[in-house]
Amino acid sequence: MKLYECVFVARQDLATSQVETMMSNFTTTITEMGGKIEKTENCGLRQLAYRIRKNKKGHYCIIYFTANGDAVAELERKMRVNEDVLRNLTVTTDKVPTGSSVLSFTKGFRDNRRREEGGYQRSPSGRSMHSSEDGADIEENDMDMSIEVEPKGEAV
Amino acid sequence: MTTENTQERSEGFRRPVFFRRRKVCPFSGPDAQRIDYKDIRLLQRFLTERGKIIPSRISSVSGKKQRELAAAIKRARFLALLPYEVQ
Repeated sequence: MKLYECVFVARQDLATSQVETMMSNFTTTITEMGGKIEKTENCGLRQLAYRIRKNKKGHYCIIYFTANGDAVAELERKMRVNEDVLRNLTVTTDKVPTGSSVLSFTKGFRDNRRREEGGYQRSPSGRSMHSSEDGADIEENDMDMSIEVEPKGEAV
Repeated sequence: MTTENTQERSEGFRRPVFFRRRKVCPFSGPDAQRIDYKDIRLLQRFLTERGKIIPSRISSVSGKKQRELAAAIKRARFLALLPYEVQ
């Protein structure tokens, strides 16, 4: 019996109550197959980083459970059949995190992006002038610099 | 004469881009953060503006952690927490 973490995304048109019903359906499936639910969480409606089947937002939910492999297979099969589930991912973990998940209070990708602007500043000559602590905004030219072949055969 | 020129030129190119190499991997050490595919704020530090994964020779992440990081980023992309490409 391994500890699994299942994240799934439900489409935005559903009401929260419908999402809760869906979650309880999945948890019943797990317990029927001999599994045990550790923790469930509805992280709410979040902006998706790209459109999935014309949806821009989705309800993110997480289920932590211990079960055998066949319970996991059955759960994934149910989610694949269900049209309201856009994405699902089941992963083994070693422990159940306490408190609410990171997904509940981080905003979407776009909002994070605007706050953390700053990385390589490019001078007009094309060389990087300074770099900051968080990530680097590397243009493709920067990375190719080291592989550039120096022109041979200069006129002597 | 040609060799001298190439040396000078490559030194001028390399220093600003690669001096970061001496930094420590942010995921090794006693209080290192765990790499979680759901923690997009952490993952975004290792993506470029266009959403590409930053190579470890620039971000100075160790080899093993870079593989974990890449796997986490790819999972987050699948779940639409991160984009595959930003225009």
